Amino acid sequence: MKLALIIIGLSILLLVGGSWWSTSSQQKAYEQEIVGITSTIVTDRSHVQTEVDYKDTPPVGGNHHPVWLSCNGDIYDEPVVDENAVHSLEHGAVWITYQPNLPVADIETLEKKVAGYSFISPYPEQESPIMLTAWGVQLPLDSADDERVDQFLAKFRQGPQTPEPGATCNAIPGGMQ
Amino acid sequence: MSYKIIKKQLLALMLGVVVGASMFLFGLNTNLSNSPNEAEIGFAQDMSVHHQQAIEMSFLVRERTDRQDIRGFAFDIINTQANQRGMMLGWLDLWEKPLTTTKKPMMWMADSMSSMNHSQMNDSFTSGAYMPGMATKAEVDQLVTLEDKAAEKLFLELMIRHHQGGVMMAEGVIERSDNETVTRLAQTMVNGQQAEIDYMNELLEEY
Repeated sequence: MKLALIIIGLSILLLVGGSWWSTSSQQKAYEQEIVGITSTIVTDRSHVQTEVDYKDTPPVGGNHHPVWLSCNGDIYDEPVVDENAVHSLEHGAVWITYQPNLPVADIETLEKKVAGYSFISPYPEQESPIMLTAWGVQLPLDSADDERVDQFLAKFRQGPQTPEPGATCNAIPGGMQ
Repeated sequence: MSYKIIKKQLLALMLGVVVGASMFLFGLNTNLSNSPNEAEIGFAQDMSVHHQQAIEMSFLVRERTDRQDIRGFAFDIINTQANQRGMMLGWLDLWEKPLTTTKKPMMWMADSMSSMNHSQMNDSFTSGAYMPGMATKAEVDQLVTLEDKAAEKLFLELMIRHHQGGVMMAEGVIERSDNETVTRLAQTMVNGQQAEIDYMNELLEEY
């Protein structure tokens, strides 16, 4: 009888252990929680040639211009057009924006972090000194040294919420119209 | 200890080991999602062929027109669908299934295709086409002979139909799969290709 109890105990242990192991390793990939993130479910994603009235600043998604902004580590020194940038978000890019009065050292720190599937530009109208934006998600930050910059980039460049997986961040050859 | 008791304990031991081991393997298996069903395999095999034709037609139209919005749109399709093909072929590789099938296409959706009436069937399968929405060889050959406006117009018409078939196939696997990796990509195809159909219909109004 004793032996049978031990065996049953061992089975339960294996069951619990097996399912714990499977969920925890899944969490490592996608589920890491980043404090302060707001997320929105975005359903509009049509190509339009008109101005779009976005409710977030900077926008987190929505209808957009047919031409996307090059988002392969591009550094823009001037504000970019929302309708083009939103198309880049659709392709899986992280958009880093900052208030123009952000200390130069912080701007340089952020610019160094921009690589594939990400781009950076100033955004005078935003309320937070720094904003990280991907399709449907946004994180306001005060400092470029915040560890959440790297966490956000790791999670959301071509993140699981990307509406068009596999789309490119390279500019269309021949450029804008 | 009598022989009977030992036998009882041995039985309990064997039962326990079997239950424990299978539970553990079940835990592993849900993690790796490594046992695809027929629809998931069929979708990955067929949709990668389907995507390949969209890529081919997009390359063709880029060579046949200078119109930058059409060329940019085609560039988007080429990159996106080529990468999505790679994702689907990667699943097949991990599942240790053939990347190319010798089966008749679309058999994994045969249950609902056979319940379609005749006109639905004609809408999804162009006569002579390999899969729903795909262009026939004659249609692709015709695209090669055209230039500028004529090429743009035929490209849009063929690609709208191609995407409609693609949406139907992606919806088909979403109904038949609970593998989140598969259904997530398929859902992005449904949403993305539907948005592109709307865009192409708008462009087509100019012709």
